[in-house]
Amino acid sequence: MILTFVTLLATAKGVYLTTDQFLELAFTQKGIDKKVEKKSLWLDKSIKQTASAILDRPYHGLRVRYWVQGSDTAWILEEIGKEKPITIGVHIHNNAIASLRVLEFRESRGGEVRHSFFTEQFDNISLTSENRLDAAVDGVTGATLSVWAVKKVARLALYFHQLTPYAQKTNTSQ
Amino acid sequence: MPKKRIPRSKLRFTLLKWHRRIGASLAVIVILLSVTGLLLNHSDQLQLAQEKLTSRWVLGMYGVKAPIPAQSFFVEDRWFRGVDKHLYVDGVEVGYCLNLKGVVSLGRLLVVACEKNLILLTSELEVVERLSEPHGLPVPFNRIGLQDGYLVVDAEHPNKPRRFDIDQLSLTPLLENSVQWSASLDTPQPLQDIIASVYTVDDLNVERLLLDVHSGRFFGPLGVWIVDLSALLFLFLSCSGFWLWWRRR
Repeated sequence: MILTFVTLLATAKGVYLTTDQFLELAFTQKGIDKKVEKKSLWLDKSIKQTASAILDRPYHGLRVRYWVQGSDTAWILEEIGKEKPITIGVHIHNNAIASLRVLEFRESRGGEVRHSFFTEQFDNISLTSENRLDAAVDGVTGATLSVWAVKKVARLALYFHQLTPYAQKTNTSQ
Repeated sequence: MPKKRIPRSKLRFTLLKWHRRIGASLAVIVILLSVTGLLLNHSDQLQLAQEKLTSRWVLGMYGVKAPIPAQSFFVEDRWFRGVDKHLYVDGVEVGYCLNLKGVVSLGRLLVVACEKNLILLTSELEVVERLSEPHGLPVPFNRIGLQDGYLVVDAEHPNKPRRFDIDQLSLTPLLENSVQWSASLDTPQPLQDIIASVYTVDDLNVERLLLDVHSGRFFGPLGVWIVDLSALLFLFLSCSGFWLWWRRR
């Protein structure tokens, strides 16, 4: 019985936030009353190469969808931890991560990355010129691959954000 | 009558003889366990779980055979087929697709419906994007079709087909019911043979193979017994080795 309980605790599969819930959390906290718009980012060869370098695997896809409110963007991206994709939402404000949430976790191990003690480490992190995170993120014992996947998605979302007109807006206003 | 005792020198000689014999005969297993153990210890860094097994012989040892489902779709002179969790186009694996539900040609794009997402492909079979629930799609899908050049999706919830604009990501109700649904056909035998020759299974990766070799399971029940017996003999070697060293001090 104890074993079953421990197994249930360790198994972290599930949907933790829907897209709507994530967008609501991301865009309504600041009290901005602007419409949330859906946008597309088209990826050319060089962008795909950089995305592949960030993910450390070939990036498949020519178009990425994202959501915009004001100059904030939100990205919902997937990356495989060990065997199955983890769905991660990243809200970017002023070219830095405002919040990062695990929306759905499908693996049987490594689900600790969904907890706030891990995801809050990404708050206010931005991208260096080498497309790396500008602050250290502590790993989680036993969840190495999931941690890597979340870090890659954070870098990718920040990189994609830089390619949108909303990043340029922020830069010019600073 | 006094009890007959084995002389210590004879016991030592017998033990040494068997220690050597068992040690030599276990050498191959020690090497196998050491190599597989070392690799498994660094499985994450070496990304062994991501390396799918492709060897026909190894897959054959696991009893893997390509499932032959009836679902195949013929669109734009190409055969689209869902096998296990993968999409094959003319026998070439294009990507992950759980339960293929239909394929339609929409403008310059090919739209593939899997159970929980749409895959948009160019005519060169390059993935444009994958659309799923986060993009406002109702899932799981039952089927997809076309109506007046628009994509129509029929999902389980709500059980009412609707038009889906793949650019605006918006759903609108159908004004009429004349939908040209994507229909499956029987797959030609040569294509089945091609898929059977390239088919792989997600759960079978190098890490799993190493674990099974390490435990002996890869070689069937006899392999497990051999590894068990080897473990007992390792215990014997540890004890005999220690005793022999202790006596010679």
